[in-house]
Amino acid sequence: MVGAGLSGASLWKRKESRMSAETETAAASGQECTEESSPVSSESPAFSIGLKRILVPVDFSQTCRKALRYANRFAEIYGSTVMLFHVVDLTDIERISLRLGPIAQERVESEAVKHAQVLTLQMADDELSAGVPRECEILRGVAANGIVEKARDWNADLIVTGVHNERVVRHAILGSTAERIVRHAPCPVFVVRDKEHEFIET
Amino acid sequence: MNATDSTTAPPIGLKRILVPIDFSACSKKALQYAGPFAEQFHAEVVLLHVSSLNYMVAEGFGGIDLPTLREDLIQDAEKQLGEILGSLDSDQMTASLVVREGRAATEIVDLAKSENIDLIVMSTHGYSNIKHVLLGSVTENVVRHAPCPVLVVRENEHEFVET
Repeated sequence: MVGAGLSGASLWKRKESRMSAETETAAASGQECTEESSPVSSESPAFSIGLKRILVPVDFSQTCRKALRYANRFAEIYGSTVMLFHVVDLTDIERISLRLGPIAQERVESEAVKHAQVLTLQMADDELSAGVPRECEILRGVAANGIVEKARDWNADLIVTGVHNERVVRHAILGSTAERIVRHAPCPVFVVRDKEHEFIET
Repeated sequence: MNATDSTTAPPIGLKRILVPIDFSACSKKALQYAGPFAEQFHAEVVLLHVSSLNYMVAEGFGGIDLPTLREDLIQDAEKQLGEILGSLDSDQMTASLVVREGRAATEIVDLAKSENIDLIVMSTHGYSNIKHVLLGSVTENVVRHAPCPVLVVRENEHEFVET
């Protein structure tokens, strides 16, 4: 590897390191101690992470709890606001209210929205640290479309979403909601899954 | 949950970031995201190129010296990855390169498993006109089968890493 030293032209400058406690010393061993003596904050970094708004679609599953935990850690590190966004799926509402009789649809819908609000707030309390600013929103519509539109409207910097391992027929045809988000999102998408190798403690 | 004081968050164990590169501008964009994360969390970056000659040139192409062509492709990929590696600010982080042969998504997922990768950063492809057919089929398959979180970035999008 090339030991070019700290130059102004270097591609990636360390901004500030909050994780320095566990640093492997290997990276620093080959160079002088310029790192300690001169904080790099005076230089303008070539790349910097400006992660202000993180959108987390919630469906009240364990997988989306996991997505929230990742979002929470990112928010703590980068000072971001987290939006929990739930879409009350209108096709589900229709299906349910068809079984309950023709007059029930509006009632089912408003109950669903009310219940979703309670669950969303509860989830934010459960999974987000006290200092992390959050917003909660409920939309009636179609999940993937609603999420992509919200990301655009809210100017989200990142969507953190879970992907479910189980497949139902609708997912097999259209792709899961997560896959459709990945396909159409206006911003980067961070995908976590049910059972996986983790890099934060959950 | 863990037993630590509630004011100290658990550490992020982001040690190894895999960045698949197919040498398109879009795939290099993934590096732009992997870099700052690698620095912040002192993670190692693994650059992977999957050479898939097997699926493109069948034996039917008479007169082509397949073994030589394969070797050429692999050596060329190693050289190009090496150049990308050299352009990184390597005293701020460690990086390594891997060239494999096979089907891209399969090899990416396989390497992520065998090398204990914590995060895959990759892009969707920017084939604008035929995007509904081709948009990131490799990426979609990786998202579907990856053993770890995947950060998907795309060309011409809202950015959170300043360039």
